[in-house]
Amino acid sequence: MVTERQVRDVIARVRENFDANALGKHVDFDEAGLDSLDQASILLSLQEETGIEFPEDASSLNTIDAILNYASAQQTPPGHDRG
Amino acid sequence: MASDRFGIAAIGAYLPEQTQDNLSLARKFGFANDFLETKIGVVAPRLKAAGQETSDLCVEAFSDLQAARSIDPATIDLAVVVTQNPDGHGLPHTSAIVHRKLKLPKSCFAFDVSLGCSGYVAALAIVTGFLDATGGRRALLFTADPYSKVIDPDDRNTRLLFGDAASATLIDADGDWRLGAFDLGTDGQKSHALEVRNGRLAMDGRIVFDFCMLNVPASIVRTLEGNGVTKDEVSRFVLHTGSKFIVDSLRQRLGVSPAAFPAPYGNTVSSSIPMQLKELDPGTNPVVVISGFGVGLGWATTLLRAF
Repeated sequence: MVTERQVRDVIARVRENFDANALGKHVDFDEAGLDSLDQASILLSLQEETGIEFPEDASSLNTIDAILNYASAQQTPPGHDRG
Repeated sequence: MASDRFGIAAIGAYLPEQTQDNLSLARKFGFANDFLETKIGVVAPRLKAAGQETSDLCVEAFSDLQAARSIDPATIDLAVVVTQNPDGHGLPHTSAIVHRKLKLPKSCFAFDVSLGCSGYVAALAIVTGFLDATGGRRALLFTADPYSKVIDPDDRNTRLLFGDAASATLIDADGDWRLGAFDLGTDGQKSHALEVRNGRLAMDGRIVFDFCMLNVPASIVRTLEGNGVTKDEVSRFVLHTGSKFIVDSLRQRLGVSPAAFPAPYGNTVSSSIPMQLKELDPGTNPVVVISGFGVGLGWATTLLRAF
C-alpha cells in the first residue's frame, strides 16, 4: 500500500526546499519544477520503501495521483477487480 | 586479492582546449536555471579538435605524465588503452597506434580494454595481473573515450554531460598506491540503458540512476569489508563523476560528507577517476576508495593504500 502521505514525504526528502504538501495531486511534476532526475529519485525511493517495482518507461507516472493509481493497481490481487 | 607488487606510480592527464558552452545549451534544451548547477554540475566540458584521434589524446596525456616523471619508453612492458571510441574503426587497436606514436619497444605488448566508466578501476586489476603473469615490470595504462564522436547534438539527455579527456598512468613496483581487494559486477540485463544506436549515444537516465544507487553503495561496502577497513579510515572516496546529481546521491546513501563536484569538465568516462587521483597526494590520502560504474551496466571498485 502506497499512501499519498508517503509520496509527499518522499518528494520532500528528495527535493529540499520544495513544498511537497502544496503540490496538487494532479499537477505534472515537470510543471511543478521536479525534473527528470527528481522523478527518478522519487520512484526509486518509493520502490525501496514499498517493494513496488515501477516500469522502465515511467513517463506517465508524472503526478502524485498517477503514482498512487499505478501502485494501487500493482497491489490489487489478480482478478480482484474484475467482478 | 590483487597483486601488491605493483602500484600507481604517477598519473598524467589531458584536457582538450575547446570548450562547450553548457549555459547556452541548457537554455536551448529548456532546462530550468538551476538544473545545470545542481544536477549536471558541468558548465564547460572539453571537446577534442576535429582532427584529433583517440590515440592523440593518449599521447598528450603521456606528455603530461612525462612532465611529472621522466619515463624511458624502452622500460615499458605493457601499454593498455581503455576506450570504446577507438581510432578509426578499432582495427588496429588504439593501443598499437599509441605504441607506434610513443616509439615503445617491440617487447612491449599492447591491447585495448573495451569498458566505459568502470574501465580504469577494472584495468588496474587487468594490468597488474598481466604483469604478474608475464614477469613484466612496468605498464602504461591509458584512458581516452571521446564521447564527442558519438554524442547526438540534439539529445538533451547526454549532450551536457560528457566531455573529452585522457589519462596516462604509470604502474610499476615503485608505485605509491597499492591495490587492495576488488568488487566488480555487471547487470547485462540493463545493457540497453547506455548504448550507441545507429552511431549515436542513447541513454535511459532513470535506469542508469537506479543501477548506480542500488549497486554502487553496496559495492563500496563490500570493498571496505574485503579490505578490513571502516568507512572512517578512508581518506577519500573517489567516485566516477557521472553527474553531480549521481555523485551527491551516492554520497548521501554512503553517509559520507559531500565534496565539491570535481568535474567542471564533465563526465570523462574512464578518465574521471585517474584525473581526480592525479590531484591527490598519497602521503595525505593513504587510504582511497575508487569506484567506477556505468556502461554495461557494470561497476568496479577497489581500495588504494599508500605504500
